[in-house]
Amino acid sequence: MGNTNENYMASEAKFAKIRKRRRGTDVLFRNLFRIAGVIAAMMVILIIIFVTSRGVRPFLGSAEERVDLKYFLTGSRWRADQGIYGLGFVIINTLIVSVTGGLLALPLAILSAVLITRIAKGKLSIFLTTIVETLAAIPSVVYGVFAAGKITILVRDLANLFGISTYGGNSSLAVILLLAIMTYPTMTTLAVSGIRAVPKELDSASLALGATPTQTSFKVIVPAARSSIATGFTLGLGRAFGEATAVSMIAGNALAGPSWNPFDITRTLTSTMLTGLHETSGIDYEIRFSVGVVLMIVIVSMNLLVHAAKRRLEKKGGAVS
Amino acid sequence: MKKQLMTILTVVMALVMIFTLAACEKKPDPNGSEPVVPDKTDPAPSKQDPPPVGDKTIHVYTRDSASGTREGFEAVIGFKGELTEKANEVSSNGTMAQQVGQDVNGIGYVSLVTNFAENNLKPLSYEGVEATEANVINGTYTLKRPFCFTTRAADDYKSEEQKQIVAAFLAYMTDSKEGREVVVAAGGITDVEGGKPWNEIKKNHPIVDQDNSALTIVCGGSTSVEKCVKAALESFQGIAGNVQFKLDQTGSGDGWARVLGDEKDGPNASDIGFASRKFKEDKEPVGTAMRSEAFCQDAIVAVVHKDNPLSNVTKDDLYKIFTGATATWDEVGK
Amino acid sequence: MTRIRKIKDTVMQSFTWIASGISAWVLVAILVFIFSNGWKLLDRSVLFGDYHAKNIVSGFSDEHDVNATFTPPEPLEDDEVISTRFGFAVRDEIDKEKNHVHTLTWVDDHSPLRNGKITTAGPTQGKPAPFKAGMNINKLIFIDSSGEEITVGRLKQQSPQEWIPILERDARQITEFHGKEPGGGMRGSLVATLMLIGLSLLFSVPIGIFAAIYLYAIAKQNRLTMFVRSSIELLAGVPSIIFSMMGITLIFPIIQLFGASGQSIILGSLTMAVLLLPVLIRQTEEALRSVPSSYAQASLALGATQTETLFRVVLPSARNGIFSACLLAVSRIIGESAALIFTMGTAIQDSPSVGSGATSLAVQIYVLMGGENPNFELASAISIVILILVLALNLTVKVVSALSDKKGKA
Repeated sequence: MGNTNENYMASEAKFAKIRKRRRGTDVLFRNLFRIAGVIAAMMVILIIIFVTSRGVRPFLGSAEERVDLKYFLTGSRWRADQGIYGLGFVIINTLIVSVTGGLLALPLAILSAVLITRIAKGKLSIFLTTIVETLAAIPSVVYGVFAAGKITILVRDLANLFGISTYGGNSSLAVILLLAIMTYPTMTTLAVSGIRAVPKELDSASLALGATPTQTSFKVIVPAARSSIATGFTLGLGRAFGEATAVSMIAGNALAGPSWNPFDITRTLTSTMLTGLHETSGIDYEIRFSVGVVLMIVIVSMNLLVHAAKRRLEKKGGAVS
Repeated sequence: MKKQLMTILTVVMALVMIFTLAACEKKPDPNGSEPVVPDKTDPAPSKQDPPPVGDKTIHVYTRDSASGTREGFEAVIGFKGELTEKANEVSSNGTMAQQVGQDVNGIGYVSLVTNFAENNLKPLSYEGVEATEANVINGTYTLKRPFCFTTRAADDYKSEEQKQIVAAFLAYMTDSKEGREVVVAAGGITDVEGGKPWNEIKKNHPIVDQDNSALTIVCGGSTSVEKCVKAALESFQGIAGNVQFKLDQTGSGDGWARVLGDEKDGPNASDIGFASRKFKEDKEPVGTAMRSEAFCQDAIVAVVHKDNPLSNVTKDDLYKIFTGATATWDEVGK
Repeated sequence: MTRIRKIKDTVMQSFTWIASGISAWVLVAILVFIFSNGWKLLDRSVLFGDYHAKNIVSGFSDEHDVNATFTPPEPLEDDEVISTRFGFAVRDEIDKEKNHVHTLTWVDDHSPLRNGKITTAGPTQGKPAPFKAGMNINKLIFIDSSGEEITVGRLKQQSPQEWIPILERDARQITEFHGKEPGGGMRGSLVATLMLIGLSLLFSVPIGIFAAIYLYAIAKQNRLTMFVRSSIELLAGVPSIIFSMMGITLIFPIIQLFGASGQSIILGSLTMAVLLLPVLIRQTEEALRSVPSSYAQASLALGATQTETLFRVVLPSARNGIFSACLLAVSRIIGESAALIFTMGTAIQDSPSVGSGATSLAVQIYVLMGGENPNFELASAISIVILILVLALNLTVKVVSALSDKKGKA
């Protein structure tokens, strides 16, 4: 009997040791997971700190080399050859092409989403979804090759019809069309998942009240999914603002602006950064980081704006229902 | 509220439709004749419209401010800093060639090494003189600039071998008959017969008789020199123990910076820096370089679309066009 | 009333069809454009060839038979020029990079050219030089009857119609041959892309999975978690060109401490690793959440520790989802250009190494489009490869998720 007890005691001690070791591993791994999470979270802050600290350099240098911050933010000429760096018109150009491109894509995205979720059935719906997913998967540089070889020529010929001459089709309009194509898949995907998430009861209630399926889709379901649609719009805009390679292939690089004429060449934040970083050193090199900082600010403020609009929309929607 | 939204939506849709229809109309012809380069497949503009089309506004194309071609051009024409605000800035000679070739109203300037026909371009005579090698060598074509190189300081190489192979390559490209031949075949302009035979020069550079496949010559700077330097490097590989090379050509402004300037230890550090102009003595002192000189000449050629009736320009024409004083093609030459 | 309603409905419905039709049309237009431009060019030499031409210099030591004559096996085409004394034929062509080249179209098996030995220093020195149709001739050096060395060929600005007759007339013996294997291939970029994929995943997958586990299993509903979540959300919205600036300002100084210099694949892959984190974390967390919580509960109830439960039960059950996340990450790497242009550089390399710069396939396209001679065809050919890879990866993800759905239901 005592023997058994002794055995038990021994194994108890052994298990305690194992348990302790196991708990040790648990703690170790838990900390590893936490560290990984914090590293991932820190990256965005590090990006902001490091790019900004580099980006403010041109405004701090010695008097003769310093760039005037006020003119940088509001100026309407970008003449690296004369040491004039006015980014104001570039910001406006970027807003024009991105927002127009996004607005062009939005109705298409909503309509396609309605077709995919509410009208098309079975295989057809899957087929349409595949089209959207394929468009989403095409890398931007391939879009760039397409845009430089096709969209520009399309725009050039279109302008020729009106008797307007273009810079070989490189124009705001070409960029707008490209960005519309590139933001469309994001918006559609979000709209589809938003519509799918609308409760079935809403659908049934509307139909029961005598609305046709189409009326229901457009007057009940789409408004109910507006939150997702707005998110999709924001994501799409984010992509439009940040799109670099493809846009730089067709934007042309205007020296002054803003370019209000859609057939005129333009200059966006990203195209400025790409031509810039690629070619020079010194102040020309540093200033591109400043452009990067402006790009981040533009994207964040656009996000906030759409968020505010969304909240307003939700409040209104809440009042109606 | 919702009705309004619907109306807006419908209007936007209608606009889109009109647009797509216009686009659709154009669609079949490029696709009908399928492959080959797009700007060649699209015969529409050259057939339909007597070029230059529309308002005949001149479209000025210029290179970015780091470009040696631009500096060379601006220096000869004499309008530094006066460039018209309406210019379109492109970041390489290739893009310049491609875009002017797509624009019947365009005018730009490229290096003589450019393949004009391939890009739908027409090279313009300058002051009545055609841009040819012969005319550059005999001095009648004056719109030209030198291709120059500079190197790291002699004591600033990764290794002694690296320094020797770079020296050997420069000797081959600049001094030897064989190297000059290659440069000329690639479009550079230099006197081949004045070079020494490589077999003689080689004696001072024993490193070429080793297996050099572990060494890499890194080149940076002007994009205009790329074709010549690439051809020279490729032919050098075969006679120098298969030495490797890396060409990262971005613009003349980087040539000096990447070997002697503030980028020499940065992510873009290079062994040889090229410029398609002379190095500026005040800003780009090359005194410390192991070797620094011009290795050939290049003509800068003003180019227009092949359908433009213009065939000759004067210095005054170019000055007026690029400063914006002349705005339409009708005014050119008046 | 109902009729008006019907018409309205039909109109709205047709709008939806038109919208989707436009997207389908755009997709078809892109595919047709890319394929029609690039398909003709896409062959083995583009896929697996070097981008830079490889020069071959060979010397000839033994005497040739002066009176030998060779006859071409079949009637050659008009533009081919034949050397009957030395047994080869040459044609003036435009190569992939739009340069004039003199291409060998036929070399007889007993041609004296076949006796050439490589003179380039290195391991291949003295080995027989490869001569085959498709190679370019830059120049030939021969000795004429008076013993003088004469150089002929493209580098002497002569067309084949000019220099072959000279060779036929004067040459006693060919002494040197400068040829090259044409370039314009994408193998180097393909290899660099593979390296980039491997390294990026190596860095980002562990961090991504661990961070996802943290969010799934450990994070409590507190401020820190909120912060982590919204930071990762923000990171997903950062444009890729900003990532490349981060690569230069943040990562480059770090790897410089380890002796790295300049733009390199390692810098590119570290940058990509950060860029991929949000995708990986989000997808992995979703995969973890789709594992029924009863699995974990059962494991814990059986006495397994949290670590054991996570690594032996939850992660294996979520492996399909994690695998999909990795595939999506790979497809993102293949398509990415802006983040790599400044971190990996724009110099196309044939034998890339981790410590030095190179281009991925996408960046090679960018370089070709903006290069000295914009090359639409080659850019399109590479685009086809990228498209096929990316679409295949996306398809695999779909198949994997469909399979695991089926399994889940069964």
